[in-house]
Amino acid sequence: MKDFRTLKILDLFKFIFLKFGVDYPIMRKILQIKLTMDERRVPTVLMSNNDMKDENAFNKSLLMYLLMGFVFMLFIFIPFPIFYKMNIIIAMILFLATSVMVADYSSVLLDIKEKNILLPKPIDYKTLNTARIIHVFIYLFTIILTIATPTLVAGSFRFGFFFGGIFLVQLLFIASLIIFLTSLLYFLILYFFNGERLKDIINYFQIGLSVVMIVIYQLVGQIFQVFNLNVVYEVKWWNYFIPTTWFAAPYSYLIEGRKEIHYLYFTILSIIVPVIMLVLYFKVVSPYFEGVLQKLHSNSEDKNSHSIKAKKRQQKIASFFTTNKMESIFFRFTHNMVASERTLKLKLYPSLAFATILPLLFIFRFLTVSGSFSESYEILRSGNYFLYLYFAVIMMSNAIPLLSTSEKHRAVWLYKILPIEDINSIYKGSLKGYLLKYILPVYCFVTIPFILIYGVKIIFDILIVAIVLVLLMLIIFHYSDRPLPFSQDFQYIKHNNISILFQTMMFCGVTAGIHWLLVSSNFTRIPYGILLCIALIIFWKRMFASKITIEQGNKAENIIK
Amino acid sequence: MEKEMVVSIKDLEMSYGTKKVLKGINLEIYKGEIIGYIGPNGAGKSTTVKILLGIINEYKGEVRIFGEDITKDSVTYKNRIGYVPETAEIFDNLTAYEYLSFIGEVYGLDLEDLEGKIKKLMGLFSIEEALHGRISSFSKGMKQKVLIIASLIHNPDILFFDEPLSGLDANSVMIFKEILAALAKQGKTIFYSSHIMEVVEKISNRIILLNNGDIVADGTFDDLKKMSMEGSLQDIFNELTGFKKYKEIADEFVSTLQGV
Repeated sequence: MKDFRTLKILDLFKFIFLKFGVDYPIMRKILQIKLTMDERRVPTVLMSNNDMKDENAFNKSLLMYLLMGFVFMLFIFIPFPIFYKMNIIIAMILFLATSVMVADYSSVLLDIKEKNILLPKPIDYKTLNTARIIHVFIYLFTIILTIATPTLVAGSFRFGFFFGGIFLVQLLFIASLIIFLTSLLYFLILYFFNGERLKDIINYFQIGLSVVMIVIYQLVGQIFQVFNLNVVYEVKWWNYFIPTTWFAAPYSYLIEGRKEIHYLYFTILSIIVPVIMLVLYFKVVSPYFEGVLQKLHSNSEDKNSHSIKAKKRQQKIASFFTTNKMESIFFRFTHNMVASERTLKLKLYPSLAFATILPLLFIFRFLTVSGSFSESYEILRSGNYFLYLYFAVIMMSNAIPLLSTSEKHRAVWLYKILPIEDINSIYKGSLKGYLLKYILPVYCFVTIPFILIYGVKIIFDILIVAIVLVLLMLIIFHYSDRPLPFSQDFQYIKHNNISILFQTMMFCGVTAGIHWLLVSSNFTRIPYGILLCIALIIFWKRMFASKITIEQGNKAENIIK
Repeated sequence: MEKEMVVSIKDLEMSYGTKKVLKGINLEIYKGEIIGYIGPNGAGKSTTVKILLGIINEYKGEVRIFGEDITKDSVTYKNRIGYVPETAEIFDNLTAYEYLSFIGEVYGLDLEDLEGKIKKLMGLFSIEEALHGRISSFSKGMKQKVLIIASLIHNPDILFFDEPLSGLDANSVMIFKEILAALAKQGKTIFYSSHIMEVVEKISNRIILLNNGDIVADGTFDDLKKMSMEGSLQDIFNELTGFKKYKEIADEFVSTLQGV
């Protein structure tokens, strides 16, 4: 087996582990195995491209982090006090690293399978737990170092190598702070709640983070303008609770030579807190961590679905919107599936959130770019910028292929053994359920700011865009071989994406163009709206014109095997 | 009582690519039979069951269930069939209640009735408290119980069980065996596939042994005994599948452990 460079570096710190009572040789072996497995694991992202199999995906993602690091580095050159710059840079690193930690390495931290393999062997809890922490640490630190490298180099040139020294040590502390904080947090959640709750919290955290990331990318340009304010720093009591101020303080204290006492306190905090975390973790948490992890396997009530009343209401809604019983069943089935499948949610929610945010970003840019606020608001109001809604349509149409995917796609043998006369009912029920529960409410939400700006006179235009949205989704669904709901691996989306995206853009371009022509020439949109409506109805009828059983739907059949 | 035929299979052939898994099977199965469907790994047991269930349809030959060719009407007969698969991939992100009521409703049962039925059945298997828990958080045995309930909830006439006991505790095994006997008495037909010969020997009133895509034995346990002069079903199984070296292999295995 390969001996990793990382492990050789780790050997230098052997004494620390021995001091904490860790069986170092065993831990080293476990780590070696883990790193070997990581090397062989083909990440799902790359699985479709066979020729890329040999490349290490981790290295690839590092390249992306390096690019982001270059953006962060730019802050070094803004003429601010160093305290501010470092606050911003460290905040970004902390944020990015935490999101990576939660999103990609939670599963490593919470792995209970390896425990079943390793614990029956003569290995103690502490060693196993430490191996796990170090495993995560190796990746997290590599990522943090990559993000920070541009800043490290630029900063050292600008402020001398002393800067580099402090920064490097801090990165170590930041990495440990993140790891210990997250595991402490997981520990506490698991201690008080059950495993399902923790999974939900992590899931929502991931969703939230991916949304924030998207917004940050969009706003990077704006940030410099927003920060162009006159900044005078006064210490406030709550600053003591913000980790970035701790880490930014040493630069003011040691490099700028500002000897205010609170900088010293901050600096001390930046060292003490991670150390306390470390000791706390190994003394208090580590011995019990494995114990609470067991909870991940324990069964528990799912509070959300407990109420029979809610089920009754769901059933009423379903039967209102559907024409036969099978449709209604799949209408509700789709609700339950989407509501409880975390991986699916992780893909669906950010794209819906982005659809909501995108038009707002355009408005925001519009308002900040030119002249005074009230002037640009007037321009915005007198224009036809509600047609930005078509961007939301493009984004939201991404959601339709997701309906066919599931982590549990192998469970679709069920469709085959059930007595389902006509799979059109499955399609109709789940499409209706999906559109009504997830797509249209989000669309309504997107329109709110536009209604606030333009008033109710655009309601009809909003309706037109809604019809276009539904029509587009049905077209995408129809021409992508109509896979059964939840029957596909997530790979499925990757195969489809590019050509569909292109056609979607064309479709939106044309419909938005027609709409724009009508609006700007002040022509009535009513005939166009009615025309679209008729098109929608005809398309729906045509889609489900002929009855198909599972066996006859040969396309569906190839999928099920 | 006149014996009523529920399943008939004629010259059933099936191949995956060039590999022939079923080489022309002929079978007639009657109402009320409990059939122990056994054979070594890869003999074609699961394939047969999957064909009967309509999961696989690229076969050659004729399959009739309740007298109807299943390719003619591939839907109606499924109302009267229940299935517990061996390796169950199920939508386990749903709660037990959501899953069972979904299946029950697809079988055309009324949601109101289902509610009580599900609660009662889960209670009888003493997993009532997990009614609203996600199946993914269940132990293997609990999951198996959910699958068994799912396969029976619509009171089907033919049942296909593939290792249905796996993961069940001893008490539940007793309950389940009693359920099987009671169902057979009601005239249900049960296809029972397992590798645990002791259980098959006890439960079934007809045993079908499959090897390499062919039926090598078909009859009651007593018939099979006559055929092979051997004592237990395990022995018969070994003999008919041409496997006699197990003792030598085991000896060699153990001596390797000792480093001789």
